[in-house]
Amino acid sequence: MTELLRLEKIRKTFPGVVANDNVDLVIKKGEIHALLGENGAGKSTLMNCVYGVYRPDSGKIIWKGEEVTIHQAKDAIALGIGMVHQHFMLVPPLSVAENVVLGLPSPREPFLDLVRVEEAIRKSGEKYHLKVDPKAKIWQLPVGVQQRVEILKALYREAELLILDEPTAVLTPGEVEDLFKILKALVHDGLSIIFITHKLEEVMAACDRVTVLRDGEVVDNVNIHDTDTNELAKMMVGREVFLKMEKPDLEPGEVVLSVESLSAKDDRDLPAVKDVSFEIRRNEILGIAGVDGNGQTELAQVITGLRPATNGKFFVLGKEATHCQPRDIIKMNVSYIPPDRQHTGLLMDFSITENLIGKKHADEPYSRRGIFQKKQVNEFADRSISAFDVRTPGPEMAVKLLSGGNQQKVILAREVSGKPDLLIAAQPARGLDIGATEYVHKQMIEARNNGAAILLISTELEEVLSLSDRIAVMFEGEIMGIVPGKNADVHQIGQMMAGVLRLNTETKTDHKEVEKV
Amino acid sequence: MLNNVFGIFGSIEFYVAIIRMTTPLLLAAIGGLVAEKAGLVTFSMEGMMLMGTVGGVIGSGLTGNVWMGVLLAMVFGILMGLAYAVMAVSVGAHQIVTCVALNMGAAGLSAVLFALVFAGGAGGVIEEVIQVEGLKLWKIPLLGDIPVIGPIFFNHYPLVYLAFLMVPVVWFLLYRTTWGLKVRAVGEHPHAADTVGINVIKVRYTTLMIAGALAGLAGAFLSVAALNNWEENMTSGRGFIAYTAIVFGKWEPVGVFLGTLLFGVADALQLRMQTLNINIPYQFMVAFPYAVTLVALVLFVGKASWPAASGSPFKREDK
Amino acid sequence: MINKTKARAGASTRLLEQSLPVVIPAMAILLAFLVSGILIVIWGSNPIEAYKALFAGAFGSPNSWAATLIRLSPLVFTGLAVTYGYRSGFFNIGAEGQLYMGALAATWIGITFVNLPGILLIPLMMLGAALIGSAMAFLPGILKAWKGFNEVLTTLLINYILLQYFEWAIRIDHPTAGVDQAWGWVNWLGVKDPTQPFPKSAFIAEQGFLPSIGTLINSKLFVNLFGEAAWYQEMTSVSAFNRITLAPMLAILFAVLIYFVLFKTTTGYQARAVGVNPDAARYMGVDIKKTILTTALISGALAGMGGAIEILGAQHRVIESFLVDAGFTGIPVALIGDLHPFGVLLSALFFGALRAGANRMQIIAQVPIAVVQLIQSLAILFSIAGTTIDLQSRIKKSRMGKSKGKPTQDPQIQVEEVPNA
Repeated sequence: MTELLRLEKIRKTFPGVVANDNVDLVIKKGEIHALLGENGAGKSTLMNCVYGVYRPDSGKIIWKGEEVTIHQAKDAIALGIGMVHQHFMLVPPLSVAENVVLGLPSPREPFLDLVRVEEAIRKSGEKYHLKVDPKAKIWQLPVGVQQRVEILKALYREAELLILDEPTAVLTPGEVEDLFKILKALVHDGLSIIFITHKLEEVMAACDRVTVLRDGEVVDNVNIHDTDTNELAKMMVGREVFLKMEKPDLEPGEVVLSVESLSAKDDRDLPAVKDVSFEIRRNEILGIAGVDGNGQTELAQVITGLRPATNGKFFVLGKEATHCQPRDIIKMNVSYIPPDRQHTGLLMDFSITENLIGKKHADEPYSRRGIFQKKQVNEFADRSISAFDVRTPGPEMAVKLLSGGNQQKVILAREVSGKPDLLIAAQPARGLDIGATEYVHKQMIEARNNGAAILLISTELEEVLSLSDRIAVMFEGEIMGIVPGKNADVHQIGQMMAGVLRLNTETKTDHKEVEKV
Repeated sequence: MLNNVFGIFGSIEFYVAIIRMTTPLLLAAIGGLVAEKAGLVTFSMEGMMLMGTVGGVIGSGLTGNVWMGVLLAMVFGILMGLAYAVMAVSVGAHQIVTCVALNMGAAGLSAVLFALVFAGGAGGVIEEVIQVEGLKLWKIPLLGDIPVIGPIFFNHYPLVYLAFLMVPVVWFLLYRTTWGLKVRAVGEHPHAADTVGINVIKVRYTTLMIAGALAGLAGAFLSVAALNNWEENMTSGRGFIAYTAIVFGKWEPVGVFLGTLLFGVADALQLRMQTLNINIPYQFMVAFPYAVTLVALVLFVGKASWPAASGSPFKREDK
Repeated sequence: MINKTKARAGASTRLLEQSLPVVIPAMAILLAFLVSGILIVIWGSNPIEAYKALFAGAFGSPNSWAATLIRLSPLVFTGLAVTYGYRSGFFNIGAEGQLYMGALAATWIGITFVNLPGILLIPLMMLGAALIGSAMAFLPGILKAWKGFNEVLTTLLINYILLQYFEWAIRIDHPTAGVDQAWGWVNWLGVKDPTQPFPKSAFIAEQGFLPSIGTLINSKLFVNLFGEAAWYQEMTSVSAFNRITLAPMLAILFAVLIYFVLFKTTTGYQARAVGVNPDAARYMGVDIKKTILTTALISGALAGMGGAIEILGAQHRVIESFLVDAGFTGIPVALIGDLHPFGVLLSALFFGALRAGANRMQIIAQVPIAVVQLIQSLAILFSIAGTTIDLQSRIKKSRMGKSKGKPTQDPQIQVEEVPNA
């Protein structure tokens, strides 16, 4: 097979981060090539370099034998490269045909010729199993069909290489089957496909070759026939040795959080949390591992009252909290470190002090009859700043001017200082350097030692492995298994994260076929 | 009572008045709609119209040809549109605030320009009420002679015909041309438009120039069609009503037309009622159209859905 | 070593940054004067002469100061109204109508309760204006809080309705003692002075006039203390002191009060939180609906009081077009004042001075008053352009410091956190 795309020694950095380092990649014509890796492995970044969204710092992109520079998406499209992002680039109120033809000149300039486009869409639909009603408006279509529109867009622009970024994240199992059919049909016609994913089953089922990325570097690339999920999981997750936090063995106390068959939908109204059950006791950290987008964020939002549950219940210290407002859950002494500190966690324009008292601003002794008690507020702020080592010239500094690490410390101070019974920490060390990360972890362990029950949600497997007393793995909204944190079998966890292993005692009727290796 | 009702609804002048009162609103609103579809808040139509009013009299007064006035009004409107574009699109400033400032500036600038041209600037005094060449009524042959329908619909100033013509024109422009498709995409998902190679900035600038041109024409209508002179604040809030009509019409050309028509009817109605012996105070009449619009908005429109990208400046992500 | 340099550079840039809220508007105002100066040249006048006259008309004599302070007072209130609202995400465009209704209410009280002692009448007038102003903002507030209705449209439309109501009310005879006439219930809504034909009210009761510095100077106390002194004799002859009332002092008082509410109370805290980030505010337990409504009410009350202060301290009665544009000017006053109550004071001073000096500029340099509107407009435009560009560069800078994903193993990147400057 001829070579279509070759990447040589691609390096891409952002301030403080090396996203891709020394990456080589070869895509042959007519193959479905998987790009496999965890969060932060560098898959999306690499493909965005090919599509013109980013510019690599160094390295070569060779297309059909010639070196090219790609400045913007337009250039990539002109070469014949199409990309379907995780967040679709579709205009909701416009129709399918209008989205497909957007930006392209019409044969009857200046008039739109949608009839021609609609015809082309119907033809492609027949040929590649991409059945879509060209006149439908995007917002009316289910997500799976919207994805087809994105593919049609690329086809209409005569793409020879189609890059799909985590395409099955938004699909039902049935739709996944349809997608594979579509891909096979496209490849049959000479297209090449790059398939970015973290799900091993799909890699094995649909792809010809796979390149595994880890921490920005290529681990290996192999033919599907020459490998299996076990090996791939090993490559993907890798590490044998990792830093473990010192934590004393404590006997877990009473049950603080009890989750029973909890289900919830995501913003797109698709099921995100499916029938999840677990318990967390005092003095223990339950870490939920899993690649981003498998329902962890939604789970945290349900437990903190920010998202409604569609089914099931959960209890905090025996009291049902399923349909409570965030305010009530705060009153139950539940604390939350949100994954997006700038959006949900902090009031960026406010000062450190004003953020610190955020949850208690209406309570004594910080305010009396609606008036802030300056002395108490400032004392609390000073105490928190020094206890949590927030580096700042003063407590009146606006939080938006702090570094990420210090912002996180402010949130920690706010959430942990009240000696919570339950602490939910989602991506607590995201965007922090080693020192800040260590600090955050220390604080969490201390909270745990002081009697808190902690739910840790993280896409960083290292973090989960180092902190957790027990580890649960979420995949596609379900808990694949819960294992002890001590001496955890990393490969087993990797397999669960990739969806090819399920350990549990209950059975459900609509299980997927699972391999137990 | 019945007599009065018949007196109003039975008179031809009433319907003619409706059309005349709707015209400036419609011109401004249909132009503003184009820019709104591109994601811009056109709260500045009031200022654009004001500049149009003064442009009309200056052009007509200086050259003796009312069409030069109309042209100058358009030019002034376009310039205002450009000024807004620089602030809102290039600088990325807050749009409503910018509009408030521009409206204020237009009020001042229009007064200064008028005095500059007609009173000679410093030291000059305006001797008498300035009268300039105004537009003439154009009766459409044949159609204008049909009884009842003729005088109502086919005997108007040319800008009136233009206003109503613009409704299908703008509709066609937005929904049947490639450029219109770009505009709609830019207003809903500028990022998506950017990735397919559309120049978001250019599209937004163009729509604002169109909005300015039409609002300028609306202003010209107020000064050189009906009154043939100029006084401060000739627009008296019509630009804001045009904006309201866009919201009321849910950003669709026909809806916008109906929105301006609603206000036009209410306005014509209250004017007629004043001439009859109805015991309602004049000020309540004047307030009536605004009240009607408010009630209509609350009852029939609900929480309006602006184009998704409305009000936000577009900045490409850092590479 | 890298970090120490960073820290030092950080300190000086931080100083620059913190002074920007004042520097940007100041430069914007300067630029506005410059550009308008060009227009003045085209107009045919001498801009230097014009600006000198402007300045003299605003600050040149005690009388000028009196005029400036009179203009300033209602602007402070409308500026505070817009500031408080905007800080909470509520854009009160209808301040003008609320101001007019407030003036109407104050006048109504002042011409009805003519026998009340001043110490009661004055606060009652302010209170009445505040309540009416609040009431006028209630509907837009409720609509936004419960239905998510955009308040720009609702406050704007109601504004026009209110202005017409005002026009009507000043033409309806108010039941007045000593006037032999038949009164209907409608008359209780009106404020017109029945003894004369023009659309204006009678003067409010004299005890309702805010005391001026002149009254203080001529009071018995002062006469007894300083009666003989020469400088005292001079001061009593300055007629301007009769025009400088407690109004500016009340304006300052309310600026301090709103500062207190915004930054020292839970109400203000919640309002600001909703304005900054409604999602985070919700997470922290703030009742968003209640906050929006409260904000609307407070904003309306302030605007209403702006109308009252003009009645109490300057005109003492309502008349057609009694205070044009003071409500809308509240918006630029608030913005140039950086949405801070104390900034509003300075900004209102600027706008008040412009208005006061405009007359003199017209007389001496023959520059039309409309040029002042232009100066104001340009000042706002340059100011928000400057602020926007500055904000964007700050955000860009702070984004640079926040790392995503795995950190580099680069030894040069230290553990010690240095706040972004």
